[in-house]
Amino acid sequence: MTELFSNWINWTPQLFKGLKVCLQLVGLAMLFGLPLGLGLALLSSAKSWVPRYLAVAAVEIGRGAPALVVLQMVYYGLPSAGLNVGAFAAGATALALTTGAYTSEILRAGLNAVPRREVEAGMALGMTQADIMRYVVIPQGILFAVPALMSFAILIFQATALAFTIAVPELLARAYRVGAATYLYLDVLILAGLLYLAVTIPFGWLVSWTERRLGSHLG
Amino acid sequence: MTELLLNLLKGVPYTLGVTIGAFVIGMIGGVPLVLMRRSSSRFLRWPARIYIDVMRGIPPVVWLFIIFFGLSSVLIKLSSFQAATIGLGLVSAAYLAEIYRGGFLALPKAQGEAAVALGMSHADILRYVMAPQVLQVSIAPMATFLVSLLKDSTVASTIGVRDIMMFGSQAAQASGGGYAPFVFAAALYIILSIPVAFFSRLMDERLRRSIGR
Amino acid sequence: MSETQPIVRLQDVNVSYGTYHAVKNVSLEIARGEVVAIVGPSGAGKSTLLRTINMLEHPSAGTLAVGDFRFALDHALPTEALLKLRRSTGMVFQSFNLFPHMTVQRNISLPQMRVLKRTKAEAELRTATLLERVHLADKAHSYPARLSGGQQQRIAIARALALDPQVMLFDEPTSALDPELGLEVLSVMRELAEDGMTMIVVTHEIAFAAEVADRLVVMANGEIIEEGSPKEVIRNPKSERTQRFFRAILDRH
Repeated sequence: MTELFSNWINWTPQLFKGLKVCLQLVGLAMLFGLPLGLGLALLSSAKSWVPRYLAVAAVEIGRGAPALVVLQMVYYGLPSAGLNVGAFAAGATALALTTGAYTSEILRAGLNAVPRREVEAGMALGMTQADIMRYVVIPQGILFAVPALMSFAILIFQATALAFTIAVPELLARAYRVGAATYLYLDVLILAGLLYLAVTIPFGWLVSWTERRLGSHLG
Repeated sequence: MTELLLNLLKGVPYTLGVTIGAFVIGMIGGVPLVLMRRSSSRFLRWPARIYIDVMRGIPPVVWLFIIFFGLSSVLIKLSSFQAATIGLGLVSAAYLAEIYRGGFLALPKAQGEAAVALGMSHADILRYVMAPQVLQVSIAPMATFLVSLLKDSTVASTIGVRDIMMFGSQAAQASGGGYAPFVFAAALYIILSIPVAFFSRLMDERLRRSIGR
Repeated sequence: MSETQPIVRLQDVNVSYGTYHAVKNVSLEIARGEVVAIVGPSGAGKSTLLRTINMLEHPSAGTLAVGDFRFALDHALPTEALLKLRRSTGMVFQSFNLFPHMTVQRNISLPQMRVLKRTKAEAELRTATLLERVHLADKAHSYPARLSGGQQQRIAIARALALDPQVMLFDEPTSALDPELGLEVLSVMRELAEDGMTMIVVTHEIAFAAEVADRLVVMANGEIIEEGSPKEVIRNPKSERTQRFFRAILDRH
């Protein structure tokens, strides 16, 4: 048993580096994916059918394609387009695209949750549709969407584990490498699991707390 | 191109096998879990909560690795298909238990009280009054979960299951790094998810009629 | 524009929802500084008519004139015209419709800055003046959720006034309020009327209408069935429908 713990202590530094990579991937995925999601959400409610159909198609495909498939597709696809950006960038891009597709639905729900009567008040005041969206609908829509977006962030964080298939040195990849070297697969994988939990469980508590706080602010 | 498609189709039985197998394990396993989760005894409640939070807090691919690489060297040797199905099944049980829990929370309290007043036993109340309604409310989220499980089944390829994803990767490597196989693979997954939507609406109608809503 | 020209004129306005004809050939003229109360049973088309004046409803026929603008209503109005129209009218809604994520001050200042292009300083000055006027100067930095219904409605009135409209439209302003809170709002409305604001008020508050309004308009089934000075209409209603309406109200008090 003590051997297990001393092994864990030895392995933690390198696994930690992998965890850092996972967090970087999530951060980038959300950073680029959320604006994409907002754009798609707005386009999918557009009046003219060209942007609307394109946006809806992009969202359905982005949500329908498994994350692993998107990862591989971007990893193999970018060099074909002449962009040799490396595995990490490819992984971040793929996750950002998936994030954009899923969050667009979450944000669309948030935007639709803004009461129509506030939009009417804006219209009665002579505000342009653009101003109404910018000052009344979008700020509240995003606020409504925050808990669901946070829950989604947990899922994307878990999806970063798939990046090992495109040779990104994240947590699972490093754990597997240690396992292959020591044949102590179970020990190191459990440690890796604990490191994942160290992020997902506290963040889950944060999500619940946020849900409660937001309920009272806008209620 | 048709050769590519035919190759991909070879993976369909495994994709569906893992998906449906895991879903069935999850559907069944979720039941004792949710009952424990709702129990008044903390010796039942806490293990259930821990199981659910831990299974949902660790990426499914890591669980597959733990079962396939980890347990195989220590306990029993499982085939990659078995490891994938069982692993995803255990994770699904956790998610489905939460879906069932949502169904219970949606029940009007008054019904339970009426049944108790009629003198029905707790087991009977559960079986005849609550369960059908929990099931009906849960059908839509279960269908959504099944679709996401179909997509998550791709992780099976990482431990060697010869599913759609695996054939796609092989095709891509063989053709020197094209992304076309993955486009087809994605399309195939999307197509496979369509029947689920229809099936879930069908089940919803059936249950609705039998409950009389 | 001459003093005698009406500031709002509706002619032969028709509004339909699908097959339901909500407003049937209604014509109405409102003079500058006049306070007109529109009453009638539910579903009479009162709110629909009011909301046609700032084009929140989509009429199918008729003409609308507000201030210097003249519109034919049988086709869609261009955006520029719509915005100009809505700048000259202010509307107060039954459910207040304040923006919950903004402070009271921002609720009132932002539209001024965006619609009238006032600077922040100008807008905040005007806001402060209006908050004084509705007796809520100390609430500038509160959020709407913290305020009572009566307070929220007074803020809503201030918000509409901040854009210096020519006409103020009130759509059942007190229907969602307890009687006490409603009194606060009605008293602000009375002050507004005394200051000479042109007001069109759809309301169930017959007593208020009798006291403050210059003219009472009674609608039923999408048409104006009677209009005149409040005292006349209430005491000697000419049509049978009007008589039934007022009798029902008297019975309930």
